[in-house]
Amino acid sequence: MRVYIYLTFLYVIVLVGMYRALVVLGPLSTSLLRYAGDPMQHGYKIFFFTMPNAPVVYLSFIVVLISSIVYLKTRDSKWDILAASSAKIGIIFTTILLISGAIFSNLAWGAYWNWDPRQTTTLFLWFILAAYLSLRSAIDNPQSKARTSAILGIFGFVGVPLAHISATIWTSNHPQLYDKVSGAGFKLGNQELITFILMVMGAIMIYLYLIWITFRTKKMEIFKNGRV
Amino acid sequence: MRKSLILAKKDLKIEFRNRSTLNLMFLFSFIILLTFNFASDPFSTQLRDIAPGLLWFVLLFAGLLGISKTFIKEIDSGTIEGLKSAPISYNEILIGKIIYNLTLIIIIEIITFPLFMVLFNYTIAGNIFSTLAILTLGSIGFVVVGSFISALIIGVQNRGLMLQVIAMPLLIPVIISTILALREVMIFGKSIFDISEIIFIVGYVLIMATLSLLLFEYVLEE
Repeated sequence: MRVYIYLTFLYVIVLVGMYRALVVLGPLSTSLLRYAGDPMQHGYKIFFFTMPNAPVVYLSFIVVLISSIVYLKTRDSKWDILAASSAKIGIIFTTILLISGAIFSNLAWGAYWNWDPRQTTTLFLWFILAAYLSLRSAIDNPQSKARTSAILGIFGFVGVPLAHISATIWTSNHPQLYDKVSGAGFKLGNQELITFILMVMGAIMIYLYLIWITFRTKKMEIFKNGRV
Repeated sequence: MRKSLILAKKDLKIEFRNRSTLNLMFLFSFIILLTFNFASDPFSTQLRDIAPGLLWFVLLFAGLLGISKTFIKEIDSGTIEGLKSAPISYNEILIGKIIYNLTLIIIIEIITFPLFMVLFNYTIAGNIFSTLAILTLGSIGFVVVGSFISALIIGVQNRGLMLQVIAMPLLIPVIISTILALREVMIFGKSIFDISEIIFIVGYVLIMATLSLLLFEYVLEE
């Protein structure tokens, strides 16, 4: 029952957020990118569908990191399952982030892929998750699988701070919240901020729901097969 | 640290008895250099721009080829249990393996570099020793991560491929910065102290080394 309340809440948030992003907000009024004469009219709205994936990608990495550390300390296999589910959902969100980011990139800079540090480092995150998942699928023994992938889960986290600071330490066209060149990054108006917060909440809630489902399914599979 | 050196000396002694890994790494880098020569006109100007990257990739792939055998050799000869029960800590084993791998890479680097200059008819704008220093610095990066990962994937099927797939994304910051630094020296002739990428590589390698040493005790346990 509780899950239905949660799902209703989720649907409302996501639908309201999408409605606001697509219908309520007008054409671009403030400059989203750092140069004047921004060419985007309605195209900037992809921002509300791209950016909310980024916190989820970070969140999934953080969940992998924490549950890997806890697994190595406690050796409780449920933490391993949690890390695996988080990586699985994380790679889906990273894929969405990359694809919608490419659409944004095409609108703003005229090419789907222009090797912006943000794009490139996000692709590394995708590769790290893919390596994590392919390592998991290549080991048969459950204990050694859990231990090995926990170590890689901790190791792979180095990509996240790197992806986060990438646009600041290397030259990048990506819109930034703290911009060292112009002093201030782009700012959202009140209407845009509300939409943005709704979309981020919605994305995080989808992540939590998906991870809950994956976690339960994996636990049931293990219960059925009778092995840890 | 002294125990690590003894361990590395032991591995080098075994390696120099038949030089199987070293020969393989050398032949591999040689053949890749040859094929790259056919990929572009060796006297063209484009080649001048991409040559630093080619040189670095030859070293990187030859290096990973050698590194992937580090711990598998111990498993195949059944000596891994003896290594674990020896009166040395796991971290000293890792450091020993890193020193051993680094020695192999430096040998390959010293052989490949003149070969590259001759085959590509290449003149370096900057200092040759700066170039070698940057190559060595980048090599330290992938040796640290590669040695750690090669121990991690002991129980995995398709180990050779798995090392590349896992190590590469973790190494990409080092790979890119090394290429950028090499370009600065080889094409623009900058001094090694003017290159900002060096600090980045050193910092990244330090973080990776710390993480490897912290986590290595979990890697070798059964």
